[in-house]
Amino acid sequence: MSIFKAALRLAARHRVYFLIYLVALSLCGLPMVLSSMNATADVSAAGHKEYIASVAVIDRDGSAISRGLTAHVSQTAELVEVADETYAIQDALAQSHVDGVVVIPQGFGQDLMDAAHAGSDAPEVQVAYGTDMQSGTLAMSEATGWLSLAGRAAALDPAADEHEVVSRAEEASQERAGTRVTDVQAAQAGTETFTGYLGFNLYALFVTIVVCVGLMMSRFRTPEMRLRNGASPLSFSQVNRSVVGAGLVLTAIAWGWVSALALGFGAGALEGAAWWQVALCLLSLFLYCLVPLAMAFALSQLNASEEMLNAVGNILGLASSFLSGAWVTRELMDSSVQALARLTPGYWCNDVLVSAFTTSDWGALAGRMATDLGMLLLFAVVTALVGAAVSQARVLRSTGSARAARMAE
Amino acid sequence: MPEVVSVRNLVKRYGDLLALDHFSLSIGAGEIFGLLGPNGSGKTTAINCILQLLTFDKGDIRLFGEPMSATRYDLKRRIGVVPQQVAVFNELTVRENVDYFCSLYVADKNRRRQLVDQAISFVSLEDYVRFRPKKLSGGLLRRLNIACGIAHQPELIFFDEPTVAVDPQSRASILEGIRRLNGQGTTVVYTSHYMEEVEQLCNRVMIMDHGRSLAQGTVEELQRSISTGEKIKVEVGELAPEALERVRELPRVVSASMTDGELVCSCENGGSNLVQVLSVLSDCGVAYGRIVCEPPTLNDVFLEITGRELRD
Repeated sequence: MSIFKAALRLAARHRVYFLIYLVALSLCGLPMVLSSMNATADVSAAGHKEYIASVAVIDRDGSAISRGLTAHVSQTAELVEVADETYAIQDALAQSHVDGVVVIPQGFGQDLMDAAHAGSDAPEVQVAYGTDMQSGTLAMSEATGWLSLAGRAAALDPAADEHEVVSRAEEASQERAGTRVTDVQAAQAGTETFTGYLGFNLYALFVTIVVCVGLMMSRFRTPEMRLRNGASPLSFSQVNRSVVGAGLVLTAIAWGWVSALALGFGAGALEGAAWWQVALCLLSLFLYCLVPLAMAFALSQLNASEEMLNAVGNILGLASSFLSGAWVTRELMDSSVQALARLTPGYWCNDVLVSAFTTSDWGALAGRMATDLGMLLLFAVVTALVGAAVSQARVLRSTGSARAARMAE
Repeated sequence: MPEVVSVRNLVKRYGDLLALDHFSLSIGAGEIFGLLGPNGSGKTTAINCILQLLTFDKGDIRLFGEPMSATRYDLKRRIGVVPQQVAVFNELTVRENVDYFCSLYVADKNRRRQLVDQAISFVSLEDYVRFRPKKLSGGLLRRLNIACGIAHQPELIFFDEPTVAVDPQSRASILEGIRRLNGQGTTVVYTSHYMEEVEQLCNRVMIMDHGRSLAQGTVEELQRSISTGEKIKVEVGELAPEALERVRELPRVVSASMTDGELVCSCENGGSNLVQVLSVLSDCGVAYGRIVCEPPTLNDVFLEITGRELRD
């Protein structure tokens, strides 16, 4: 059995870590993908549908103002008849027959006019919301907004009677900011699902590779095994090459698994996306995977224990994933945290995932990609060099040739 | 007899500690050469230097007549090592472990399969080939360690304390295996701090302490080289002080004492003293039972040279 094959077999004997860290965690992200895709499909198929709130107006005043308010509410909401009884109102709200109830108290119209003429605070109607607070609040804001317009109309023209005030308030309420319903682009929503899933798995990939590859590599780095391999007719670099090669294969398997899931379950969501955009995302993810591989190599040179590998893999994996912005939007982070995030590989990987499908300027995109991918490669190379330096220091300390000894004489 | 291992004036320092002090060694082909010394005497350091696993400060090492260096992979290919610490992968089975270590030396898969089978058979681990090392007892684990070291059928094998923490049955099996290897023409270098093993096994022995060679030769040569001779033990029950004094006055008796109903006499080297001791006991009317007459041991050699016991 070659060193390479033995290394892979060693890793296979620790497959429980693969199952927990890679398979289980990556599968946990699938519901997110599927639900997101369903949501996208719903939006695309049904399009936008305006919600009409149901409102009951209890008019105890009977003035022109109160009738005007009732008429206005009926234009934006479905008016529902509810008896002016406490139990009936509570029942209507509790049973969700209405989203909200407006109670106009007796003398409200006159009070509004008086307050407007006197320049004091306008009286308020009583409002109650149903179980769907959001739709009730929206409906009530229409009512209070109209009353505010009526109050201003009365204040501007003190000679105007209630009918004129209602007429002017109604006229002013027709003035609205222009709005337009825009359908969400299915392609963009799909790619967000794809990149979101890749971003979700930054942690899973990091911890899987650090623990599984680190464990495998560290088995070759115990003092006993180093001496045993050192006595063999193979050089340290030959042994290291085989072990690192096996680590690279394990890394590729982990990356391939996540990529396959992302492509397999998110294939429908990628319609309209260019192949090179997808390839760019997968390339950045692979380069990101080289960082934990290099980390595993460095830790194995330090004879890190199984517990240490788990601790380092989890802590750094979580930190890198959190700071990447894949889990929490970067905009929500403090500027100092954002600055710190640049020191983690996840940041640069996620930057590729975010910008690959959204940046339309080719020149800017190429420059940004080169920076991001270069930074990822730099992280991997620097970490690997640290490991190689530790390895070399150990070799020099523990082994050597008689020639070197004679030269030192 | 061609020289297989040749070490001249090897010096190895660990900081201020002199681990090997102008250590020299010569081992011929087909020998079982024993390196005997207490823990920390420099046996493992010497082996690691010979195998170029440790740097050294001074000296010359030649294996199979050629200068040894860290990159002499052609020479390393002809050597087997059974390290003191068991060096196997706990994740691999017995067979996979032997196969792995054999593959470091033998690339051909078919040839390797035969060698692995032979090595497993040699250490009698046929019933455990699918076991992982963690499931093996200490003795079986040591046997696996040996199988890993000998599987590629080297010409020269270093056994570094292979019987530490091993039960007597496994120890006997290991020693028998080493004899068989030697019978097949393999040169064996065997380190131990168990003098009985070395006495039983080795053609020639070097006694080491503080990184220096104190004495070397065959077991008989070493026994003859010291002034201490045979040790006579006679079961006597009771012995009058006068009788004990008469035994002590015998010309070649160095010391005589009573221990647990047994008269123990240490004699000078050269010739037997048993007849004289028994004559004294008969003259004094002492009835005696079991009589044991032991030649000097390697421990006596070590004691006389260093002034302390081998296992101090």
